[in-house]
Amino acid sequence: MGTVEVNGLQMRFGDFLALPDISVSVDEGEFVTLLGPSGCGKTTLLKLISGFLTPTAGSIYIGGTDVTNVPPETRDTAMCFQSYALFPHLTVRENLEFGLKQKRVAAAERSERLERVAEQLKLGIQMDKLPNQLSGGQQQRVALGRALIMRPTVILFDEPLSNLDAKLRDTVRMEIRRIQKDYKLTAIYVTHDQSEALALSDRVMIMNGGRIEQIASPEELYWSPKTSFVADFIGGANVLDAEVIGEREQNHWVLSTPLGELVAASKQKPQAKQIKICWRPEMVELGGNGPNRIETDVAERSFQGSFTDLFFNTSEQTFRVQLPEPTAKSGETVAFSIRPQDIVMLEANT
Amino acid sequence: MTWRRWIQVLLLLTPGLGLIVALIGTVVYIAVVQSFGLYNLSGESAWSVEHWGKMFDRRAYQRAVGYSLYIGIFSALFSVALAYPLALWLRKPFAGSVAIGAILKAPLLVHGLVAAFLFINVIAYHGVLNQFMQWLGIWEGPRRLQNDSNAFGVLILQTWKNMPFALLILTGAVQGISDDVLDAARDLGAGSMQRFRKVIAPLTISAMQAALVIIFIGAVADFSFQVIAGPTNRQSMAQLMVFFKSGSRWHDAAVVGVTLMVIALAGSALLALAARFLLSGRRLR
Repeated sequence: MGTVEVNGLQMRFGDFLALPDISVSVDEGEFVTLLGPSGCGKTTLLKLISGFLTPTAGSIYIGGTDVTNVPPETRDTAMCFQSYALFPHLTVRENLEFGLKQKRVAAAERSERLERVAEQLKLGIQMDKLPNQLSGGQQQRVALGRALIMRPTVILFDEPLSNLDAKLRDTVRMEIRRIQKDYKLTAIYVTHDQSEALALSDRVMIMNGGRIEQIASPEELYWSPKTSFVADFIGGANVLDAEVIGEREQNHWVLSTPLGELVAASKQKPQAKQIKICWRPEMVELGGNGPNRIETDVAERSFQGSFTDLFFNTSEQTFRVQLPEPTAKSGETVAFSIRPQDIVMLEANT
Repeated sequence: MTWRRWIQVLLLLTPGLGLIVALIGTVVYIAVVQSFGLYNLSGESAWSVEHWGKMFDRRAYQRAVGYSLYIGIFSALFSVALAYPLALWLRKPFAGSVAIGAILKAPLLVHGLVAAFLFINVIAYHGVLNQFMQWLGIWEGPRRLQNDSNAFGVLILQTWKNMPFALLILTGAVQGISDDVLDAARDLGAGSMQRFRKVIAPLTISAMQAALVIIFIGAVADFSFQVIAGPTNRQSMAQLMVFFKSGSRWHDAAVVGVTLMVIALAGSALLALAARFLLSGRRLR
């Protein structure tokens, strides 16, 4: 039973309330990512789950057992640190065996687990090297192996790829996901890299200012964000203020926006008259004669490889559209349309 | 390196290291040859191993060697053992940690003789400690604590005086260990003692060796604490050396002096090796 349940968790550091009230549950074998900007409380939450911090209030259950006041050394979790945290005086083999020796695992089983992890992570020839003789990627694999060899109920990752270069990050990311699936581990992963979160996770929990903004699958977060923070944080949506001025037909809402009148299709009623809305930069059709046709001058053009960003300004803000091969240059007029179902109505505008 | 390069390095080192080597070398040379009968300051000089032979047979010498080793080893061990938890406690700053650190290091500024006399006053027959224990009702009458035959007084003084030095060295080393490394050990199931034995001690072994060696050398050659607070039924090597010198027995004093140098050198090397062997996680590098 590798479930994790967090109920009404609060963490206070002196006068600073880092986590006001967090409740979340993670299913067995699920890969959940905590995503948010620096200082949003994601590492604090991870440290509470791992036992390095004791909450001011609330409870934590792992596998159905209350572990709120259980120290990390007796908690059935294993952590992969951002800095790898390998023991610099021990060889790769000794690093991998460290936890097993602490738990007094029999020598035969120790060597069987060691062999398996070394083979899976391709660490065979590195076993007698010290950490400082390994590359960043190899050190990361040792750190991962050191956690995996413990066969924990829950594995925790604290930004484990942030010290790797972009190419290596992609490789190790896939490796982590493969191993998590192979071992059917429950994984909680902290990152501030949204592409990492979207690529790895079954569910992503977006945090902001110590609170959960939204917890959902990557697809749901991307296409149906609940708040403007989530919409902007995931994929950089165009977020704008809108006033609901009527309902045109069933589930079609007419909105007054700085870009003119727009129509959004949604089964859910708007939360207020004054709301925020968003649309993804790539969800536009060049030209088009739909209800949401916008004609504007291109302020800036930025080539990004497989697509090109076109920026245009209103009096208050800048918007972005992404097109595969636009011919329009800076200063030229371009017309595009947005489908009503691609305009998402967000929270009330306070 | 070419021989020209070697000469250049030696010439560059000569003003600093050369002077030290010359001064220490001269002292060591005089002590060694004096122990073999040369450099007699009050009579004829003649090469002889007689002084060494007679000294080895002397019971006072044997007892002094054993006693000085006892003081040296235990002072070093106690100082380091006490400094480690304090260094770990002060590893991360907290409210008042700077003041606590400063107070703990204060004995470094107090001269040994002053400390010894203060200590004697505290443990004297009519001293504060005896009065306090009687006031608490733990002791019925005053006890004689001064110049105890097990030299516990000297060990307390040595530890009091040397612990801040060990603390100074160990604090820096302990602060060099990252939180993540200690957290990782904890996460993998290591309790406090295991974290110390498997992670902290191996990663601070060089600092620990330095502290052990420097404290051992100072304590093995102790004179002032021994004279004031030490047991009256035996002498430390430094005390024995002074005793011979006072009787103008320069060759005997030199034999004790050379023995002291050899013990300091060999003892500190053995202590450092033992520490590395026991606590470095098997790895001798």
